[in-house]
Amino acid sequence: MKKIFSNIRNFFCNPVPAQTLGCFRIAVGIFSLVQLLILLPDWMWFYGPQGLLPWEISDALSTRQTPGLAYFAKLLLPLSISAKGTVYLVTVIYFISLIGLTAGYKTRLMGALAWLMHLILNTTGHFTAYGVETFAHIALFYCMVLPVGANWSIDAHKKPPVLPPYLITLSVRIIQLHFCIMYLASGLEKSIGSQWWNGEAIWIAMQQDQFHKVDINWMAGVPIVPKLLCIGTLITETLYPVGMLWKKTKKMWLTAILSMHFFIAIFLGLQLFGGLMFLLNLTAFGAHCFPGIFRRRIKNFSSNPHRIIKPILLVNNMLNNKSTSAYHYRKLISRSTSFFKNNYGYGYNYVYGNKERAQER
Amino acid sequence: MPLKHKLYFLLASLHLVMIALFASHFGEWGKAELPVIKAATCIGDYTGSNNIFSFFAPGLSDQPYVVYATKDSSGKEHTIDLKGNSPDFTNRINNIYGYLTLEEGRSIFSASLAQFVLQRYPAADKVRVAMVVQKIPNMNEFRNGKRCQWHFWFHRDFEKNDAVVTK
Repeated sequence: MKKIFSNIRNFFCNPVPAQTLGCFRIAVGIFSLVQLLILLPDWMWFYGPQGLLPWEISDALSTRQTPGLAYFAKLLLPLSISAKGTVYLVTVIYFISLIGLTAGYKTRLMGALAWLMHLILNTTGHFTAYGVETFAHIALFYCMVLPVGANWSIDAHKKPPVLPPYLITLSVRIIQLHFCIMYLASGLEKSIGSQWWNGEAIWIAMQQDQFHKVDINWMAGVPIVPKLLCIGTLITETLYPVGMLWKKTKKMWLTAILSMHFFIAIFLGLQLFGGLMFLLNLTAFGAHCFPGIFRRRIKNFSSNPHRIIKPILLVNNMLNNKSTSAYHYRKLISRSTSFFKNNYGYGYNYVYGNKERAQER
Repeated sequence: MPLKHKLYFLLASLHLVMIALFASHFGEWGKAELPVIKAATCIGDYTGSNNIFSFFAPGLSDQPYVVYATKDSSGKEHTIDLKGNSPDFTNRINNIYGYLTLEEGRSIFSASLAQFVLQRYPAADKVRVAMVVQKIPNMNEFRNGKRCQWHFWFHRDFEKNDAVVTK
């Protein structure tokens, strides 16, 4: 009993690398930016006042207690900002706050803004949202309340934070335990259904039109394969808390869960969801399972930045030094492209090598 | 440890307890009217601690889909398969289509989608929102020659003057 309490105390109080939080923040920020850019072409369809679901409908049917775009549009109407203008304003604030969050500039404020803007958008676009929005919401909440700017941030560079190690540990453990509870619940719920024991779950999922990226008809002839995949999923998820926290299995479990999400992204076409879960697991447990993984890379760079900068300077020097053949080759390409562009209207893609070859084209 | 930090530990514990309770479908235990539960649900909406994690659980069912057919004033018909410009559009619109499987949500969701289509195709006077379902055979049926088939489920017709003609 004493040993159990001692282990629990060590779990919450032993120092963990602060790079974990910095990595988490950067991963969440970059992912959210990428997701924003991917969804931008259909942004008004998902979140506009007259999108797939008008605001009146989504607000009337919503069971959430959180404010949506319609609420803020009403607030901003006296300032002559239209409903569409509200969407643009919220989107721009969201974009800027994500950049600030990623860079770690005024991290707490940027995290709060990003979380709030995502909350507003997600409340309105609730009926088009799926798992990726759930986890983005959770991740942004943690970016707001936890000291994610403690490392690898502009704020930390300007003024290193003075934080007791046990608060860093607590922050990392909250994220890790959240994932443990989440995967345990997910695994248990899946295990209630017979489809996850006889392999039909993977079969049906990949036969569904929206997920049908790879032909899996052969699996019907080898039913042991989907069965093993399903049972493997059940084991990986249900035993996630034990697997990730036990030192003998944590490396293998992290590899398994990352592989699972990688395959979800590739074979089910859920790139955003798979990508986000991959990043969250990697940042939350990467340093826990592979100690020093983040510290090693940044240490190599910061101690000897010329390892990366020197090759770039070398290539640049070659291209601009008249005594090198690379310089003459670059000039030839430049002259040939001008000739082709002026005489034949061709673009840069079509010109290689010497003049005769260019004329042949 | 200062008192402030002890409070942090207490808040973290409460947060994790809430996550565990809601993950076990706490909101469906039948006591949703209690003020404490309502407050916890409200807090969970903001913190993300009131989520359930029933992804593909306990199983998967047939996939619904919607096809639209418009008719303009000259009687010309067009069949529309709504596709977006972003790669994630299909995943998101399929969430809305999933709500169409619920009887109580069918009319309002189909009306919203009809309105959206009529706005995109202003020449159209009428639109039919037709829901189909992809029936997927299990592996044993597939080995015996059965294949995936789309079955008609329901349709609703809408006109620009907002009168609903249901068949």
